Amino acid sequence: MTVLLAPLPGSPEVVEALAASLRLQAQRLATAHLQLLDVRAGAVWDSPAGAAFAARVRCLPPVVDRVVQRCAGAARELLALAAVLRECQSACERASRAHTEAVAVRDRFGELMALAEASGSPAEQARAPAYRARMVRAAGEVEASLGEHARAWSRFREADGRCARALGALGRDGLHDPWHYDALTTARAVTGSIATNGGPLVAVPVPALKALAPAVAVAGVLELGVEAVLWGAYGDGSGRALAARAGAVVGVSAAGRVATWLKASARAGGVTSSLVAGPSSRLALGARLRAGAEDTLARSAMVSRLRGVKPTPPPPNIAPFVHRQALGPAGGGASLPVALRLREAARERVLRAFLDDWRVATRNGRQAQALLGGAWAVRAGATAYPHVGTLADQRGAERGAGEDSPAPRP
Amino acid sequence: MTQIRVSAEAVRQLGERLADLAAFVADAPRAARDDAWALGPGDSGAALEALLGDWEHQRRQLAQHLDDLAAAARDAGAASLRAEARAGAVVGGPTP
Repeated sequence: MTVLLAPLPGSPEVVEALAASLRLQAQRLATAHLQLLDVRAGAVWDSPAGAAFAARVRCLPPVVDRVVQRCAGAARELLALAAVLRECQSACERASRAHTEAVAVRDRFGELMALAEASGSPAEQARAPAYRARMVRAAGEVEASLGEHARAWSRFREADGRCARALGALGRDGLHDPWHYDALTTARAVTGSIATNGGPLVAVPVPALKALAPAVAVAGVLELGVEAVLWGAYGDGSGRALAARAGAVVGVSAAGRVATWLKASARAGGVTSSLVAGPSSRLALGARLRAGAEDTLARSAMVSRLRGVKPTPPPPNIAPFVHRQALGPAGGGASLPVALRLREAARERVLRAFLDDWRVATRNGRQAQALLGGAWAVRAGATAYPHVGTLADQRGAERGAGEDSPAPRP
Repeated sequence: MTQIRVSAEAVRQLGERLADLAAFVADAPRAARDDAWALGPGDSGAALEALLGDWEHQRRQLAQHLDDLAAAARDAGAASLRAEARAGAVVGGPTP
């Protein structure tokens, strides 16, 4: 059996093309950046439009230089790696070919030597040392080819390690996301993976897999919460997609809990009265979310305690409250204008609470406002989804029925 | 006093270039991920992916800013070209 030596995977051509693309983009980015700097300085476009454009250029994050350095540096390192990769692939191929040939020769002369030594003919026996010598030489060639192959791999590993270290060094330029953003995106990936991959597993009718259902549900809620924070605090994703996911993926009750947590986070640290104006304590995002979670848990515990308390019966001399509307006009109930006023009052209460949340969030800063927006988006999605889902199901059913029925004649 | 030393066409072209660059900045990690196999069996593929994509939030912000600037430059360039053409027509120059 012929043993093939492992080829070295990879494509120097593709690496060179990637490097060329990165170098080109680095040059273009550098050129555009210089032009933008000229515009910003008012050197080339001095007019009201130029001034307005320059004002926008000033908002450009000061990271373009670092991106240029990263791309240009990566191109340089990739070109060096591609050259070594090409050499090592050739060496591996050469060694593999030599190895195959040497093994065949070694085996062939080994057989001949064995036959000659076993032969009764003195002439044949006399050839045995020559066969042995040829076999030994071929065995040496096999060893040499193995050595060449190993050296080629070793050379590539060294070049790869050098390249990886250089790329890592290029990345240590201060251009990175805040650690809490990284933590959130990692959490999103993990929870998303559990929620996505766990769903089909839970559907399998095996008790052990069914037991995963709570974990999968919790992962879905956590993923939604992380997405809401990423949207609210960093502008990642879209409010519409978040609202759709709130209803579609997690379910209404879970979305409600997420919305409550986000709202509590938005209000955390703020003065709860709308009568008090002025700045409140500005919490960092992590502290704000933690405070929101604590507040939500505390309220949840209080509600649970209150549920266990029996309502106090009214004293015997006071009639139990009956809504006058229930009695109707004949029973002295509210007439239509009164009902309207009641409805208006209820609407005003909701609006006041809504505005109070917004005022507190505004005093707490941009992140708090965004978190409150996330809470509203989640709540809206959870409220709207059952209707939207029902409509979509109906339309789907209608479409399905239309496809099944024969097409109408023109 | 209004002083323009950059042509309207140049501003429009700057907008086009910025739009291309915004697309590159947004898509850079995808390109690195797609071509990482070509770097062979080692750590360089992952390192390249990290280098080009491990600043997701900043990258999105930069791409968004570049996109906004591209749209503004394209609009301004096109408006200036129209204004120049009209002014040329008024003083008897060639009409577009």
